[in-house]
Amino acid sequence: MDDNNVFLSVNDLVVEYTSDKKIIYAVNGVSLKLEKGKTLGLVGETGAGKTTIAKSILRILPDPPAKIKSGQCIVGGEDMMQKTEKEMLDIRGNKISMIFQDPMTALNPIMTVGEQIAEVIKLHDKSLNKKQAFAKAMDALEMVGIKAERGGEFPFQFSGGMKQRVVIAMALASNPELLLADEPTTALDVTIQAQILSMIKELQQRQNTSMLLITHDLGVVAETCDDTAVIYAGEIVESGSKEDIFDHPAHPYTIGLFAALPKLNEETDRLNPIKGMTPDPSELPEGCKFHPRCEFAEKKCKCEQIPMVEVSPGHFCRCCRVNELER
Amino acid sequence: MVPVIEIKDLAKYFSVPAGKNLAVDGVSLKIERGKTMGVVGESGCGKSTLGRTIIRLYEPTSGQILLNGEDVSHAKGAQLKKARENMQIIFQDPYSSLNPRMTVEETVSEPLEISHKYKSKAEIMDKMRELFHRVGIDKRYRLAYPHEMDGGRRQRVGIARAIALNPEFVMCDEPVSALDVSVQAQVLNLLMDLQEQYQLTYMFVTHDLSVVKHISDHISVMYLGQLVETSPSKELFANPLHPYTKALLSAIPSIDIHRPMQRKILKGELTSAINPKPGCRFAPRCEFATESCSAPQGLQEVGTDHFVSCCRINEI
Repeated sequence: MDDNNVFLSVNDLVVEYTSDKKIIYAVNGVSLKLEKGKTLGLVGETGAGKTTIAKSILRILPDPPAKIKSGQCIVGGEDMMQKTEKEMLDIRGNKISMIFQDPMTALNPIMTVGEQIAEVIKLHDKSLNKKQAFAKAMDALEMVGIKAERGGEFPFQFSGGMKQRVVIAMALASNPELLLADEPTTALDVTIQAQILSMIKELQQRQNTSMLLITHDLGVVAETCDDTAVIYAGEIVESGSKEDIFDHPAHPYTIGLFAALPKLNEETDRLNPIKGMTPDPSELPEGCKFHPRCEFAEKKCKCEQIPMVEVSPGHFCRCCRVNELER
Repeated sequence: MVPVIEIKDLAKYFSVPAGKNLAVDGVSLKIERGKTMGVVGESGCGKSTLGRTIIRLYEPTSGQILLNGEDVSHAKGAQLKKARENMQIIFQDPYSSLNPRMTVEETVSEPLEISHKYKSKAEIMDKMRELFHRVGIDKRYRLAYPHEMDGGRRQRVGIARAIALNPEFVMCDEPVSALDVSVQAQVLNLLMDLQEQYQLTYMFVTHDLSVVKHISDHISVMYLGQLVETSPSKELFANPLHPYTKALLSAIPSIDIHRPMQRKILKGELTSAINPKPGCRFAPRCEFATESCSAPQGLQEVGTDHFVSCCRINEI
């Protein structure tokens, strides 16, 4: 990766939630890098901390219960953690936009979709009057493949796929430099997913937007991302180019994830699940967070702080046995 | 051999303010003992309604449901109760399908008590221990409430409840959609083990095509209340014929990064099955649609057990 071209860099981010006097260790020292105009796929299972990272970058985590303990989120050379709330208001939706997972709840049910998009546009360009903002909103709708005359309709008149298009139109209305897409197609059917993903990619290329794509679906990563980071229990366990992760997975968790997927082009009698469950984030295991489920775990996996090891240029893996294991 | 489940021209319509919603409209299929019929389609295509009508959670509008050759389409009273012991369901969301105020033990023992097959509390407890063992729930969870368990364990409880009365037919309504990949594989393996041990017959409703390919012997593809293609599972993936099946299969994101899919992106979206026009319901989104598609369609046999509903099948 070219360090000069890095647009987003998250350094050593730590986020905790407090609930009932318990501390939930959601994000434990995460570092990520995303180049200008590229797409980084962040893959992990429920509760791994994916959404918390995206919300930390935008500083929209509710505090309390969430607390960003330490770390930096540098976007285009500026650390978001140092910004005042007033400055953040200007950045959100302008320089950085987010697409949320569930289009059914992300829209205001009592405003027409046109008004909702115009509201965003007007907020970021105060020179526009209402009419001009609405005209721009209609352009944004056309951009995502919805006819402008439907701008006067309400969200309930739209299907799930179209609502997600509206959400995307809103996110891209002000040409953001960084797009945080949190499971943008999880709530949609496969044929609609294919439409939306190809549309996001096309718009992203046209505007040279950098994108952090959060998903649990390795297939979506394979089709849309340049680089991949795998997260488990609030830690990045493996990162590298898409080819590194898909062709030469190194961490036992990544290998396990691939093995657990039913394959379309292979005949298998039984799948190979990863045994056990993801750990309770308030009682994370010592050492490697994955060791209780790992078939290769040894004594040293249980007590050491496991560092990231570079297994090949640009391909990192958080496993102390990675060089001993045959891959 | 008499199939465990056979349905003939089954229909379930719902009245809605705008008219009639033809959620299931003239579906026929049969499932042999010990086999799995996968039903795939997009949300709103009627696949869950089909499953629920078969196990008589909905009263069918017309058509027949045969359970081991016996017509149960409009069974009532004792006959319905007996049929239901034999037809069970595993629900999609293990978070909302378990009663939050009942412990695992209460949830699983309830069907055992209602059936009156067991004479004493001790017998029920024995049976329950056996069920826990079969589905892999540790007995220390006996007195746990659903909120104390993760999704995978909850779904195991749902499965234990479904198989408690030794049904022959289990309708699995997206049983792994709410689970993470690593846990999903555990539950799929469990379902396949149970099927092997007890010769269970499954109908497996899902929108996940890689899951359905893995578990099914036979697959039916649904579009707006009707079957558009039904075929043995291998044949369907090797040789999909209906334009909708082709688009559906090509839309699956592949994890093979070196062989990108030749993708057919469908225009438009699934409309609704409310007051549909006669003819092929997929025609408005189909690139091959012509005038002949507005005539009523029917399934035609194109290979062994392989049926397609498309009038232009020989031309495209």
